[in-house]
Amino acid sequence: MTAMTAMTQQPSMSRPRSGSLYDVLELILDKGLVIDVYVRVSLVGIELLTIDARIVVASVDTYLHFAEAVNRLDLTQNKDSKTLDEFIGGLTENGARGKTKGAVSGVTGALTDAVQKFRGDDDSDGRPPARRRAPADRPRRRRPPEDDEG
Amino acid sequence: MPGLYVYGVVTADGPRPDRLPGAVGDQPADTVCWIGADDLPVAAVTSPAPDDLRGKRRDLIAHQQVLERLAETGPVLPMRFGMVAAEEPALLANLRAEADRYRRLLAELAGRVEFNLKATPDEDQFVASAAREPAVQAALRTARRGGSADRQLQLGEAVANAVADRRKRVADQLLAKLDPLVDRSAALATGEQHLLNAAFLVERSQVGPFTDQVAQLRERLVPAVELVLTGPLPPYSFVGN
Repeated sequence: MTAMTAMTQQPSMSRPRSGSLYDVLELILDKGLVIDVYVRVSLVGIELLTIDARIVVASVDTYLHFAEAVNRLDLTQNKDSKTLDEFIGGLTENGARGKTKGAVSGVTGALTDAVQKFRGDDDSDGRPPARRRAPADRPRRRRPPEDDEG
Repeated sequence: MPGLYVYGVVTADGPRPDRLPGAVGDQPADTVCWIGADDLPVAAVTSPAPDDLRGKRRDLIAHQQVLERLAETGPVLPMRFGMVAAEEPALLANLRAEADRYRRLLAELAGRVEFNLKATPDEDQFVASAAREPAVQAALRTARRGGSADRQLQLGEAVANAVADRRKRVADQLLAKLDPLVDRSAALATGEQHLLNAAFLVERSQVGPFTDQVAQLRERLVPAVELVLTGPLPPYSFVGN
C-alpha cells in the first residue's frame, strides 16, 4: 500500500442529489465494458472491497437481533405497517414470477459497505476501509443479553 | 503508467457533444479525444492517462460525467472505471478486432438508457409485518411464556425467515410491475441494506411511463420501503461482459 497522505479535501457527496456518485459507484467500478488487454489503474482500497463479496449467512447474531426487534415492537403502534401487507398481499393476483428468483436474493454486502465507506471518506483512493462483520454494520439498538424475559 | 484513459466506445460517425466536463486526472475537457480510423465503424473516447491516476473521487466523477454527456448525444458503451490502453496502436487493434461486436452492441443500445433502482426496507415495518404471521405469533407466545435463550433464538429465526420472505416478495412484485415497461433488467448485488438493487434498460419513449410507475410504487410503499431511482445513466449494466 503506497502512502497517500496529502489528499485534497472534498465535500462529501450528499445522498439526495440525483445521479450522485454514491448511487452510481457500484456501476462505475463493477459494471461497464472491460477490455482484457488494457491495464486497469490500481484502485487500491476501493477495488479490494468491491471484490470482497461476503455472504451474509443467517446466524445466531441475526436471530438475536430479530428477536430483540420483535420484542421491543409495540404492535398497537404500527398501523402504517399494513402498507407492506397490502402490497405483498397483491402478489397472488399477479402470480409470483420465478424468473428473478435467486438473482435478486443474492446477498453480498461488501459493495454496499464499500459504498458507504467511500461516501463518508475524503481520500477514498487511499486506504482499505476496515472490515466489519455482518450484521453488526446495521444500525441497531441493542439490549443487554439478560433482557430476554421481556 | 502513461497511456490512454478510455471512457467508452461510440459509433465513429455519431454526433459528438459540444462541450464536455473535465477529464480524469484534473485534465481540462479539451484533452478528451476520439480515436478511430477511416475503416472503423467505432471509435474510442479517450484522454491522456496521468501517471498517478488512482481513482480519486473526482476522477470517478469525471469518468461518469464524460459518459453521461456522451450518452445524451448517442449510443455509448461505457467502460468500467480505470481502463487504460498502453498506446494508440493497441487501442486501435482492439477496436479493429472487436468492431463487429461493438457495433452490434451499440445498435442494440441506441435510443435506450439505464436506470438504477434501489429499494431499502424499513426494518421496523418489516418486523411488524412479520409479527402478524402465524409462525411468528406462535414463537412469540412460546418465548413469552418463559424466556429461555433457546426460545428467543427460535423466535428470532421465525422473524428472520418471515422478514426474508417479505423482502423477496416485495422485490418480485417490483420487478413484475416494472417488467412490461423495460427492455431488459439485471439484478445487481443486494446487501442487507437493500431488498432490490436492479438495473433497467429503458427505451427513451418509455422513460416517462417507467418513472411514473416507479413514483406510484414509491407512494404505495411508503413508509415500508424507500425507493431510490437513479438515471438516466449510460448503460453500464448492459454492455455484455
